[in-house]
Amino acid sequence: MKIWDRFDLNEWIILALLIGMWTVFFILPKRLPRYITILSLIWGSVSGMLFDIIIGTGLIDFYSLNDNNHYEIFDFLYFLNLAPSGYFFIYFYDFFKIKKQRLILYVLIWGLIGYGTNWFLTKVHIIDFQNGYKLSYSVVFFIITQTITGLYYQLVNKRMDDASQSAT
Amino acid sequence: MEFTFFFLVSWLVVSLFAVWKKNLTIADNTFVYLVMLIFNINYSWLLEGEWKLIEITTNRLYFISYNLFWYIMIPFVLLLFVNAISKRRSLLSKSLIACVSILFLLTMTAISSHYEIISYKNWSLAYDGVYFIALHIIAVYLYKAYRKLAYREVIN
Repeated sequence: MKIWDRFDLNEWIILALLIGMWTVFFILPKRLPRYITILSLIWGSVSGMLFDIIIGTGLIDFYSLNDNNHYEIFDFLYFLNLAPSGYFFIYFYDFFKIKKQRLILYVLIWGLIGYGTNWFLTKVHIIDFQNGYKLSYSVVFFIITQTITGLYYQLVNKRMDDASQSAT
Repeated sequence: MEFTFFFLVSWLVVSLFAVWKKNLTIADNTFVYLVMLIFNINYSWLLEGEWKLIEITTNRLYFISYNLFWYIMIPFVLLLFVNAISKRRSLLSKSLIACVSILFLLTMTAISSHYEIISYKNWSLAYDGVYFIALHIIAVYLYKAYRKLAYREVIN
């Protein structure tokens, strides 16, 4: 495991994003229960890692992170960056009181945000596509991940409400 | 045959969890699953991708079997374990459940090795055993930490 290959633009941008995203996380007024906050942060990171093990490593090696295919400390920081994005998804989902019908539009908007972010990350070489992979394919993964996130959040909310009602 | 076997066992573990009387809430179970996933992803990345201590098959179906084992079966076995011990007081019964769980995971790892889904280079089943023991301890303590932190107040 390397710390980094070369400390250049991609490392600086990861550090800047890390500071920026986590600052916004701490600044935003808290509105979610703490158990949801923790889950959304972890899910943000895990979804990126899952993305990576499904299509970014092993037999289907569609992209590399940072300067090479090795696991660097900045790969880990990149996943740490994804944690607040999982939180923001749930935060605004709650803020805009998204119900089932509006979930489609909400996921599409986040799909666009994901596409734009991914485009930027390829431009600064935090992500480098390989083996015929195209940026547009990522939209499929964003849509799937975000739909699952939205539906699962509704399920967790409902189950936790049911549990607290049966406890009282 | 090997793929079918791994798929069937994964399905059995997940189904067992689905019908199991859960002592943890859905949020607790999700937390334990995700944390176990983080540990497994990083452990297998480091072992295989970085340090080349094990080698994973290039056969696609075997590769899916490997993923089923590490990213579905192991976290769900840990979930069953945490649910099973959470309401028990006796240390002996907790330890016995942990032993069954660890032995099951070791058996599945030995089967993976036997069918050459993974090949040990400078690693061994005993080291994986140590990892599984550590994983069980981590699951219990992180679950307790999560409960303390997550339910201290309703809105943070």
